[in-house]
Amino acid sequence: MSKHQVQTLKPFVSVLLLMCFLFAFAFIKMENRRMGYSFLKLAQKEKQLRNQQRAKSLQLAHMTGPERVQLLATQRLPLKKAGSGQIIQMTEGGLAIIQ
Amino acid sequence: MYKSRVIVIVFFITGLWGAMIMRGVYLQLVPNPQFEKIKHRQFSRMIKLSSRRGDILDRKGKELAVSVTSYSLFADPKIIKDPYATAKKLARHFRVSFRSVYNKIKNKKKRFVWLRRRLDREEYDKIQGWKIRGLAFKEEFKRIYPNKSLAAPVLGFVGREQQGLDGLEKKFESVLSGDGKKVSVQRDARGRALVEDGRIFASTPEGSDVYLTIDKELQYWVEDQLQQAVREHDAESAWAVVLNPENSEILAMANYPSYDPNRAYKSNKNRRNKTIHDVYETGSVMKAFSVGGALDRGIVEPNTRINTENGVFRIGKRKIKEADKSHYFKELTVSEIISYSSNVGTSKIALMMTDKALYETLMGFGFGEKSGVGLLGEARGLLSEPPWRDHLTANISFGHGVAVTALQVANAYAAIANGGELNRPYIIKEIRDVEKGEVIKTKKKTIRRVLTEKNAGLMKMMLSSVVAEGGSGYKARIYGYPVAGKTGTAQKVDPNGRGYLPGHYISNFSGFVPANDPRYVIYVAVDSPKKQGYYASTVAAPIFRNIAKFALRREGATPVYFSDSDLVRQNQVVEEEVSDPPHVLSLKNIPDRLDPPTVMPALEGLTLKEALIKLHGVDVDIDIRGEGRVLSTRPKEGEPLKKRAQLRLRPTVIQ
Repeated sequence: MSKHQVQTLKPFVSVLLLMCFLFAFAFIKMENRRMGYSFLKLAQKEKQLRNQQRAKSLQLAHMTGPERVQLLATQRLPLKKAGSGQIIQMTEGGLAIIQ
Repeated sequence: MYKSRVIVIVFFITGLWGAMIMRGVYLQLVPNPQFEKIKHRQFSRMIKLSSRRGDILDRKGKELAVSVTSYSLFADPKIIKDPYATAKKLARHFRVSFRSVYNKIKNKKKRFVWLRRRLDREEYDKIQGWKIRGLAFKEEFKRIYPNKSLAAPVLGFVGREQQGLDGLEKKFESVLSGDGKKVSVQRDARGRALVEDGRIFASTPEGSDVYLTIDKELQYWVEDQLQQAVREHDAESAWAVVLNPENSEILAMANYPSYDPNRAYKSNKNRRNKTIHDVYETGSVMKAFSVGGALDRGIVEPNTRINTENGVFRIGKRKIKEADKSHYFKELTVSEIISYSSNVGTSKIALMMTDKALYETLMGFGFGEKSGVGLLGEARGLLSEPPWRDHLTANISFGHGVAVTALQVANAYAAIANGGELNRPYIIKEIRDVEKGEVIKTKKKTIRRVLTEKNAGLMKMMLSSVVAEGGSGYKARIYGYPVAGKTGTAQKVDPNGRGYLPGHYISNFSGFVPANDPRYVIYVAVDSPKKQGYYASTVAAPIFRNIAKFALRREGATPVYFSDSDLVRQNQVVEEEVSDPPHVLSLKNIPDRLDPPTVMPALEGLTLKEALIKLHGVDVDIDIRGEGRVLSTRPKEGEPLKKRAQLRLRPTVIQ
């Protein structure tokens, strides 16, 4: 390519480069925005999972509540509260003490 | 001519463009606060992210009050296509009248109307599934107390907008609620927020979590014991406090009857935390402090003999009498005065001390001032300043004429238990700031020394004698663990006038276990017991014993050997086996197991386990439907058993 031809092409190349730069800039901006939305989706998912975990732990707290456990033990299972003298504890010397 | 015209036009247009470009450059590059403001208003949007209220947890991190995400349903009536069908669907779902929903959404001029607040996830998913345009949700938080009435007067409750209205919820409002975040974001032409960092939208600012010193299991046990006592004695109410004597941290603070903070708006009954809000005369539990003060001032010693005037002591026109005629003695040692709960003996010790010294002693133990626990509405109690007349000094020495709170009494006993130091009681173990990762722990704070270590030891010994055989607190005795404590039965002051309410007593017991190495200080009070006695020895002492037994057992504290009567005797068991033939296992006693039934036995009303035991050995497939007790069977009772049997169970309502 002659020097003259290069000189002729130079403005076109400059414009082309400028356009490429502008397109790239716009693309990056768009991509950034798009990734922001994907990130939002994932963050929302994470939040949802955290909420679920919180709800589950609440459910666990509810299910293992002492009042409920006692009710289940006495109403669904034939269990009774330990009465006086039914619990025996051992001393360090191996003696059995009535409770 | 033509050329010059063209040149003029070109220059004019170029000039115009140039001016516009210059203006543009000026607007874009030269700072102008006014334009900045307009730009900000036009392209930015402020979003407020409300914070999730922090949790309240017990000392082991078990949930007492938690905030969970809920979904509030609202409508934009303008864009609802078919309000009639929508209202019908919603009314059916929420089981409300059609009219109540339709009236809300029929007005097309409205753009926002709440339909239902704080729905759970399942309902949210269901309504979202309908895909009705014009219905939308807003995330909000919902406060839940998973243990219902457990520690309710201590925890308090929140209002509709999740603001603390009572108890710890109100006291720690600023800590729990946290700071909501405000985020500035760019917006598009329609005003919708443009997302750059998705985390900002999804993140939720959190309030701090508050960890209490309360032990959930112990708290439940204490409340359960109070409930039983109130029922058994037909009492008006009961309350109790359990402290760790080492540092006065509150392990349980219970009231019965209580309320469910999840439904606090339904009733305002039983919301008082009687352990700190109510002041009353406790009676003889105060004797420990009067005697402790006298010991510390060197006025008496445990074996000092006091003339107890055969049970009746005259002060001017008034008489001080022993509560129990069997306790009319001529003379008692100081130790016996505590053991037999002698009013005369304590009065005499107080008069030897003088009113000023008794006042200083009681103030020293923390009466007449707030304990500093940091709970809302704590009462100071009533303790008038001396000079007192002699009969008032005598009365105050055994717990009359002085009004105190349950927490004050428990904390004063904790001072005796830990060797003489009065600590500030506390209920907040730590506050955890989830956002910053900071933890603020509450530390033990000693207020003052109220007894020397030696005298505290002597007091422990004397209080142990109360629980010994013949002492007023014998029913507080626990086999294998030394117990120290004092009973108190006081008449209730008439709130509508002078004097006392006839037939109304407060039975209370305060003490600690094990007496030699105290780990729990327990104070119990029962208000107006009507059945099975009203004396503290029969009402409050057994509750103390049950709470102490549970606490010690749970902790795994090893019992110690005191006397043979505490032991399980081997020969006792052998004798029972011999003298009670039905207990001896033999083939005669278990015919059912060898000969399974051929017809359906009577199973109605039995638990599943009991029913299955009855059907043991039967060669049929058992189809169990439901849960709970047996409601009906197929085949019916008495009908021959086939290949398949069905047990229909009645569900037991357990929430």
